[in-house]
Amino acid sequence: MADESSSDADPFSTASSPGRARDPLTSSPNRDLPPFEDESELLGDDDADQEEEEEGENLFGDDIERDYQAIPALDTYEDVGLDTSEYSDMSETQRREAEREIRDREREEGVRAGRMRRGLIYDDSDDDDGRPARKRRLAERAAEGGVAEDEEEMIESIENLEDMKGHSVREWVTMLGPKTEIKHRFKNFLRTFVDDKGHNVYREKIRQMVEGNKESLIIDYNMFASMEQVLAYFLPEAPAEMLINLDEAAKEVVFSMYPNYERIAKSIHVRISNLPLIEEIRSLRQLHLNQMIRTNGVVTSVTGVLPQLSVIRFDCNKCSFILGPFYQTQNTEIKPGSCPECQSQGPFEINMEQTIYKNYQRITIQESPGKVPAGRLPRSKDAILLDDLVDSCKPGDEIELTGIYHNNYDGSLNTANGFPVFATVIQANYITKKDDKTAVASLTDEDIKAIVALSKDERIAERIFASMAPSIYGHEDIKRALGLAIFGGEAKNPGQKHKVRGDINVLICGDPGTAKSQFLKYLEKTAPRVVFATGQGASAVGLTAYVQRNPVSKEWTLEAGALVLADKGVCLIDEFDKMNDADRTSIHEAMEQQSISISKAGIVTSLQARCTIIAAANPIGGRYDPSLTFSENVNLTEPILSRFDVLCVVRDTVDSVQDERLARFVVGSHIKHHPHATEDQEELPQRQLGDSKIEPVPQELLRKYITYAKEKVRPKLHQMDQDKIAKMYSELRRESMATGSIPITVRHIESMIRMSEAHARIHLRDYVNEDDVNMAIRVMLESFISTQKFSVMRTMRKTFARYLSFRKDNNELLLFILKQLAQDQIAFHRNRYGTDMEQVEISEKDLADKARQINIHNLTSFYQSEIFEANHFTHDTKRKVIIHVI
Amino acid sequence: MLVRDFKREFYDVVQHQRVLVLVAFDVDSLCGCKILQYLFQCDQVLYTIVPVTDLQELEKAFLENAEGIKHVVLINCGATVDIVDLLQPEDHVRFYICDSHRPVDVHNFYNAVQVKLLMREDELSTIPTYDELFRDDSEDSGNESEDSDTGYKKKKFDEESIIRRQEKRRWSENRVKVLFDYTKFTSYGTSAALVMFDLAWKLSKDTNTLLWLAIVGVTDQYIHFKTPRDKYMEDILTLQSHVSRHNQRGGDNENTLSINSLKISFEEELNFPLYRHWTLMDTICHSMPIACKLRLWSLKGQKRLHEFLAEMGLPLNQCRQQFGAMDANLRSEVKGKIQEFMSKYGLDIQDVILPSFSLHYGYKSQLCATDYVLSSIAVLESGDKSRSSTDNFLEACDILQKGCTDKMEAGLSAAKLQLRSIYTQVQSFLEMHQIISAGPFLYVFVQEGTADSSYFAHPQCSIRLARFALQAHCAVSRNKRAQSLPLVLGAPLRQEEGTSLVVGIPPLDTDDERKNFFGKAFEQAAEATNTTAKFNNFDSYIIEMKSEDKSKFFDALISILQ
Repeated sequence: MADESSSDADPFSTASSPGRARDPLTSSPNRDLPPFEDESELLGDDDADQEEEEEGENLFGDDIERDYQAIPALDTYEDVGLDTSEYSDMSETQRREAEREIRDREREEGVRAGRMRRGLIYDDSDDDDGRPARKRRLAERAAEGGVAEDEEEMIESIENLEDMKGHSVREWVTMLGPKTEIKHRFKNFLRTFVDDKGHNVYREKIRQMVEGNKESLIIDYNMFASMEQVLAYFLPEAPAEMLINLDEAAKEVVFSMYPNYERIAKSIHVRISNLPLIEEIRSLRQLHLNQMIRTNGVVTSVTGVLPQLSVIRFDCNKCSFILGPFYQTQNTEIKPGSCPECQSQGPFEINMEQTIYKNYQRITIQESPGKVPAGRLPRSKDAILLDDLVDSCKPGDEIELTGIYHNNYDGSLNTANGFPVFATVIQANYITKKDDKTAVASLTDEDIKAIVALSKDERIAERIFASMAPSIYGHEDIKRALGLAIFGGEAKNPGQKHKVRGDINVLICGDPGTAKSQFLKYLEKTAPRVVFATGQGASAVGLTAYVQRNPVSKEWTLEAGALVLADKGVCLIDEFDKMNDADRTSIHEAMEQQSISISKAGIVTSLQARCTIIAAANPIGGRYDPSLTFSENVNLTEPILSRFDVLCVVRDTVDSVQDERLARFVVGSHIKHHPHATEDQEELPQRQLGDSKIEPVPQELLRKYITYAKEKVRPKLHQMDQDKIAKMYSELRRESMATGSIPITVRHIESMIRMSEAHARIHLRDYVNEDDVNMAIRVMLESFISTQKFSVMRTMRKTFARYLSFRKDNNELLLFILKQLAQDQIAFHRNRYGTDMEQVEISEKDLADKARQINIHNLTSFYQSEIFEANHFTHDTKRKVIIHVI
Repeated sequence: MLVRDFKREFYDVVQHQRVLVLVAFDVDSLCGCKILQYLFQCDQVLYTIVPVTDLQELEKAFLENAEGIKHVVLINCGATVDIVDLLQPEDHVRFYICDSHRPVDVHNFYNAVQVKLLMREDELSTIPTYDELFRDDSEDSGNESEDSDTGYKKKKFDEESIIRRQEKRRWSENRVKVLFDYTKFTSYGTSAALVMFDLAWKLSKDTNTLLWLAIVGVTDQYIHFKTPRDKYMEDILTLQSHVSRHNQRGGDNENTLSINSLKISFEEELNFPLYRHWTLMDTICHSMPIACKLRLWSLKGQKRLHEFLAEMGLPLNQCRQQFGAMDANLRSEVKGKIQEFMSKYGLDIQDVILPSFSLHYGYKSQLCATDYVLSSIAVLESGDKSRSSTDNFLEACDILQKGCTDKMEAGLSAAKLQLRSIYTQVQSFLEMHQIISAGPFLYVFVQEGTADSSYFAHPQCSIRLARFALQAHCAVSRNKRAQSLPLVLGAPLRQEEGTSLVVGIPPLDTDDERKNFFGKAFEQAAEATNTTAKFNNFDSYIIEMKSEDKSKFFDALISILQ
């Protein structure tokens, strides 16, 4: 606002100043200045003169008088930029003052506009005499050791910092003058920056930092850039030098606010967040050297924390004089030349007492598994963490790193390549972990509103199951299992002694060409934090963790494998059966204990691997033989089978009706998803789906829904139907002993609990209710029955029928019964009276009785369904009959 | 009858006789008892000490031990009831009551034969005159002044009986009024320990140990909100002259005293409970005024505290260490720094600094008077059900014994537990919004089955809880009247019997006087509702009642206080 007003006033001030300057000549000094109107008239004459000159007309002539005639249309000024307020008369000194002010303002404006050229011009004209004086003064100040720095910088400041006088940015910011100016401006920024709501952001941030006894002050680059463009322009160009300046300035600000804080933290580090450009590790080039960059990746290894020299003092061996202090930089080792006391050339020893160290840690970050382009190896980059950044991340964390891209000389690399090349390293400035919390924080209020609204839908579970891999037809059971697995149960840790897994592991096994891998690929894109591995491409250590010797510190370090990288996420393993047995057993521990224990090369540790495992496998010989049990069909051992909560068998059966539908769906899907598909064509497959009235959730919203549910909802078991589960379990065990397909163990009770929790989580419920348990039982049973031999499957289906019928669509069944009843009536009528009737009335009670036999109690939804009407049935509630018009 | 010369009228009399000492269950009486015990031991007086928790036990203890005993000393108990009426002793038994509870029952005061009050005379000036209280028509014996008065009236009786009756009615009305005014507020006088110390001083048997006990007694009264700050300061000044008398080193620079002797020094202590034995963080959190002013139970408050500490230049990891293990520089600066910055955080000097005494003994760490009070009260009222109250009493006695460091350590850790449970209870009160305004007062109940409810079944601890809750509520509440509202706290006492303890504390704005009107109010409410409340406790504002009568009782209380 201030900017605008001054620029508005600008044309006026430049226009009027020559007029005023002329005034003293035309008027006697002791006379009062003429009123404003007169002056404007004078100016008007001026304009007129100029006009004439341009035309090249003769000034003197007959119509000389005409020039002085009033032309009302021309003699008025345009309103734009005209100050209409009354001016009081000014004295001479006042006016001079005002004029100087105007000049200053103009110059300042040149600075604020941020245009270098303009600044240059002003420099030449005005400040020619000012510069040398200042330089001299700067030199003097440098000689004094910057004692009186503070007072002086308040008086004098470099208005156009962007004018670097031919120096490079790097040199410019280390020079004393610009340096103090930068510090001054940054201090001013910290003290005065106010956000839209009028909060003083950094005062608050400093307070928070002080509360936590921390020493990092996080600066938002965008805010910084909005107020101090020049500094924000310098910062990525010469980050190392700028950060030193900023650190010092921040330190002064903090210690002036909290004088005693010095006793808690020795120095303050400025951390830059939200740097606008994000570079991939892959795309770092020579261009980025010594620039500030922002990149992201997964931490794969972390060294121990080592002390690094910070401020060094040396002992002279000869005269025991203490040399120093020397400040250690990041890339060179400091060696003193000679002792100032005895002039000896050394050797010098590092003084152990007075040398100050800082923390140093090296980490390796690798491109996130999901971001590596197909067919490329993931690249990795070393980063150095100093001071309080140490141990801010651990292997397996996905981090976003802001830092300075440095190169340093590496002897081994040179011998390998034979010519001078450099190793590169990122010196970290700011690290954020990308964990679930940040993901949830990224949800906007509208998203949350939409999510909560969605959860109110009572068929939300069906909708979510239906929106799993919407381009795959059928396989409701797999979709349901995957849906539950993505949401996951609740991990428990009784007494902090041992953990009980909350993740739901799924094994999909079936004939080739049944879209198993498609499901996995779909999950890879949908679920948060996914690692995809195939059986052939994964070894035991690649899945778990491997030990490697760090080339720098020569110590053994642990590198995380796929399961560790998928911690708190999903690990997808395709071609599970193709894996070696030895490799497969390595994931036993990860699947149940959720950790990976390592004891090799002197490292004994255990890593967290709290991941859901979803695997796909082919049966022996490629086709699933329904006359055999599951364990006979796949080449997997019992221990691993029992670790899967849900086993899905996909069979490629021949069913003309289904096949036809499937074919239609596939064709429709291809039409719909063609890149150039038009709107009306999109409707096609929807209509063809026909039977499913469930509207799928949009994939984008689904992903947000999953993140939200996983982070915010913690379903509890509450008055669960224990008897039901207990009974189910005993029945299942009996059956499994008899048929010997897959072993049923205690794990299966847990998995039922997990699934009911997951189902509750889908509904964003805090408590597990009856529905959740029923659904879990149904999924469990379906998984169990599908693993049976074909011969026993049918009988088993009957025994467990009452569990299986939960939440199934009953309408078709009911319609069938109803039709049967109608048929009976018609037959009866025809036989009795010999005539056909036009409408059949069926008593509601008859249908209800029949329905009860098959465990259906509530018919109201059936009466309202479309299928009911479509078959020409109407329900008369008053007479309690169903009328069928033939 | 008030004893004016303790030595002649009390100590010389009981010497060479068997004495029964009945002691109430608080630290002050414990200290008083220990001083007396020391005196008796010096003069080889036979004595029996029986700790009593309430009036019922007092009666029982007296019955059990009364045989052959002529002198009974009551410490911090019995003054507020008519002791002769309660215990029905034989005529030759003499009672010596040293009690800080006020008001003293008028019968005790005017019983010249059997009851002797060991109190300061100036504190009993509010007691109504004899004429206003007693008047006997049939008997003319009594005071000289009244003798003529009644005689005069008797003559008139025959002539103007009606006038006389009227006058009698007026007199009895007046008596009720005067008595009501007198008993309306309960308050506290000089601590029993200090009175006993005065006695020891008069007998020239005062030592540093006894002096320390007196200090602890006085501090106990202040810590349990029995005496206002003025009174506390007055007592501290008295004690300070004793302290300087006992602890001067003499003119020479040489330290003639052995390190093993007890040294007491006056200090402006930090008003943080047990800070020398705890971490600075914890002690600040559990210090009532700071916790309330900064609202430390909330996350925001914690942040504020962190800021406060940072501003003082105290690193958090140092503050989370034992105070004794903190950096020596920081430790010595803590007090000064807190005083420097407290005004910015709205803290008063009174919240932070408490003039008190500290004890040096040997090479052990310094102990201050509040440490003693808190640890002995924690042991005295320990929630451990397996131990009898007498065990607790003896344990607490040991803590006050000098050189009993391991007992002291145990006491300190018990005190920390107690403070912690009070703090968490207050926190849960506020979080669950359990402090409810009933109009003329606030009330809050400790829910049954709360983890630490056993702590709050004891009177002293529940007083502290109530006070903390009230202060915290006032700090949070937007209601301007909150300052002038008293608080009633209910806590489960014995679950199997379904009884609960009800404590009433006066509003915060009457802090200068610390007068409590709940004694009378409870009595009236119980009468009005016919609840079977037990007024057993020596403090009349602490009663015991059936939990199911609570709502009825509170309704009555509301109507009385309105």
